[in-house]
Amino acid sequence: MSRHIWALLVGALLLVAPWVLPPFYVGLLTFTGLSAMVVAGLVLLLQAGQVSLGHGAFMGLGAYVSAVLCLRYDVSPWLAMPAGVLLTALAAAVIGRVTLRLRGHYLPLATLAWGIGLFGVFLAWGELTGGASGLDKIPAISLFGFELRDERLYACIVWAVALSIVVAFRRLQVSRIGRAVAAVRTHETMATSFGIDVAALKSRVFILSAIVAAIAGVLYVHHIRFISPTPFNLGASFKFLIMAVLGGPAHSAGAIVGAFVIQGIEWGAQDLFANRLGVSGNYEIIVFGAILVLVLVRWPGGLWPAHLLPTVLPPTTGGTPLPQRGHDADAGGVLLEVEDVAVSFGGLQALRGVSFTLGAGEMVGLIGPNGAGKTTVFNVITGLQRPTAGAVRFRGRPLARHTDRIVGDGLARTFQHVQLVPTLSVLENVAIGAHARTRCGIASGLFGGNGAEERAIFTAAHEAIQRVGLADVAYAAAGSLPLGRQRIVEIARALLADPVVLLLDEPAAGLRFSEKLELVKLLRRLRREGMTILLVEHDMELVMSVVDRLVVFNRGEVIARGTPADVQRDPLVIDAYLGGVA
Amino acid sequence: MFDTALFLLADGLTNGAVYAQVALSLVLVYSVTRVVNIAQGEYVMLGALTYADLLDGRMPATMAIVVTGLALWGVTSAWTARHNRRAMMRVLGGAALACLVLAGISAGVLAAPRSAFLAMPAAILLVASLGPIVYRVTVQPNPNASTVVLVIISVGVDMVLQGVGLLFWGSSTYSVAPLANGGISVGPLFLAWQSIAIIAIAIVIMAALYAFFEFTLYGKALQATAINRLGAQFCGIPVARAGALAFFLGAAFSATSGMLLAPLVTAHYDMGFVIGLKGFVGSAMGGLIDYPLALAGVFAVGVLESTSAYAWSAYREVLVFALLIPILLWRSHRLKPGQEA
Repeated sequence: MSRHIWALLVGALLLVAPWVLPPFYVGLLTFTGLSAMVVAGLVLLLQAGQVSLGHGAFMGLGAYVSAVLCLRYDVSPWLAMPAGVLLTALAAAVIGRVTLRLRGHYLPLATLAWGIGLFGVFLAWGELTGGASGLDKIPAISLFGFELRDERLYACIVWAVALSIVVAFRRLQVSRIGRAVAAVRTHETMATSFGIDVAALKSRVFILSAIVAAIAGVLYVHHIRFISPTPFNLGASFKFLIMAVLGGPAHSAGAIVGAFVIQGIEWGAQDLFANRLGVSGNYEIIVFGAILVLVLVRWPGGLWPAHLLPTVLPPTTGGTPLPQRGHDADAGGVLLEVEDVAVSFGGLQALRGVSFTLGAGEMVGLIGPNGAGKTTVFNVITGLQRPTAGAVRFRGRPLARHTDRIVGDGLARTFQHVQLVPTLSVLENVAIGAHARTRCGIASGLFGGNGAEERAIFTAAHEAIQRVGLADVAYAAAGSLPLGRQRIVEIARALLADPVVLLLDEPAAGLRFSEKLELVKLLRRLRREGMTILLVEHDMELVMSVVDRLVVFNRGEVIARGTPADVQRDPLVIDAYLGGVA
Repeated sequence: MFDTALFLLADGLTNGAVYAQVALSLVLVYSVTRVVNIAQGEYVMLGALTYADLLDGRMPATMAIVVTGLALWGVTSAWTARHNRRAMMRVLGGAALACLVLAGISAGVLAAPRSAFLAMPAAILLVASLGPIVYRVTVQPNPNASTVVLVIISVGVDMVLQGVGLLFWGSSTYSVAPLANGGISVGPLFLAWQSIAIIAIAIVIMAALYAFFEFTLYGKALQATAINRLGAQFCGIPVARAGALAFFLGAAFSATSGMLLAPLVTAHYDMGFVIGLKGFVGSAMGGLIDYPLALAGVFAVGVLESTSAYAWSAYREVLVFALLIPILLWRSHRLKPGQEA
């Protein structure tokens, strides 16, 4: 409860402050609030692993559209403002479509380019935007004939909006979508495997961040009532990004911290040089830059004290059960058929004529020496690799074309190299597994209405964690667990997808002996509970002791099939593993 | 018409050669340290102004920056090494020695008769020595920081350097004499010696860089670091030293570019950032890791800039940056989905 009191206190302070501060500071406060809105969007982008150097221009686009509609077309601000936000959202959708598939440093570069491009349009389209000299006499917002021109009231309104945005974004951050965003940032493949449409999610997050930037823009322009391109230049975009990085992506409220710290440093440095030292000129950037470097060298994760305020998760009991798939129809039948699959990478034939089946309730192991093609088979089954020839049928139907649909059909997997979100708790990581079984989207994440579903997800996640024996670390950060337990978390996450078939990719790799024993126990228990499992594993002893059947690969071909005992006697298998004369 | 086109082409190539050295620095620094160095352009400014000071017979203010930087580095590293008295003394001694050597060289150049051929290497050395200092103070402490944090740190460094430039040199412009006056006429085209020198020196630097990477052990170590940091570390390559070296060379190339550019545009504390950005646009073509593509990129930027300056002068900068979008799209088409850029 105390965190709510803190949040209320800070909120109240920000809303009261305009009424007691001297006018100069009120203006500063208003601008900090507007910055905090844009920065909240950028913090959201950082959470999704994206960076933008163009959000100053988005703010400008919203502002310009609203101003031009009011001035040139006599539209009321009440219509012009939503129009500005909407048009910015559209622009972001188009730009996002083109640029969001860029990765690494390409993305910030591209955002830099269109940021400068939009700025160029503001400058160049003189007959509409007034060019460099801008437009003035922009109407203020009026409410029942009363014009909102009071500085203090406006600061209050701006902060009310900014705080609402931050609270809503925080809600989103800890919702189903927030977890998906974290998954996309850390491991895109994993996100796709659990039913997250990575491209669509990235694009939505990007549009959302542009929308809040445009909201800041329209609030800005009807307050200042004058517009010129300068406040939306590259420098502004840089400043917003600096605020976002400084506040840090750990918590949406980092936006407020970042905006205040940067605005404070900037103002303080200006005051120091201009008023105290009496020197004119842009020297404050030295102090500004130095502090920026210092803070980020010391706290590269941003200034938000994440360790002081751990996330509060929904209750893990009493949720309604999540929808479950009927398994009865499968009993006794063949679930997975791999038929004559071939994969070639250029000239290299990785798989040739691979066929095998997996029956309901079976546990089958895929084994073979390094480079035999086990992982490729696995990738074909999970949709990450398309076969050059042949087909995979699951429950009698061809595999879904889109990789993110496969989990919904009932195939859930773990990864050879653990793909967890290290900063999230075990419980939240496991909850990602339920993505494809649940519905709540961005709107309910932002504005509420997802409470029941969240409770259901966490109840199920907690059950899965108990099932695999990790209840004691449910609230620990996944990255803090030893590797063996991280692999078990991966299994719990896959279980939460309510799979028909569980695909385990080398679950014992890198485990200690005692951890392997635990894993064997878990696999046997799952098997007893009726789970169908396909296992790729190197550890012979482990595989032999748990599986019903084995499929042995060598050089891209199946060389043997059968029970562990049969396979162990097979001369071809012995030859493949031990070398020797054929 | 044809003459105009030729003239614009020559002008564009000169511009391109200036950006080329910045682009090479950016690629070098990025590939070895993963820092997208926004501050790279400031070394261009420092190079130009330091050179102007030395030619005018003033002790360059860069000396003060270097001394401050070395002191900062000395104090922070001495603090890190405070439990090891010998290491601490070595750090402080090294910093003091570096100060003395650089001051000695500068004083020597000032005492000798004015000569571009003395002033230039001295200025390069002075500015380049800032590179490793910046690396040690701002990058080395967090080797695993995310790319975006490193970018923002470099923005901070850029602000400091630009502010310091304003502090020491003020907002006035400094004119610098070209290496040689006049030029040659090739048909209808007049090429200033300075332009030829810029292109020639750019080519020499590229050749030297190529030779360094291909034929020296140190160059190969740097390449290894660029390809795989961890692997390089396991091979016993001191990754931090490689990073410092990359920053040193990067600063040196950028400073050279500033000195060559100064006679054409007059030196000014504000000149660096935009040049840095254009070098960046050019090197983006090669994804910041490919030297030849980065060069193609900056020459494209240079030519586009000179032609657009002629045809639509107001939107010169906008057009140059707008060029980025098709370049990036082209790059992204060459990448398969799921492949790291």
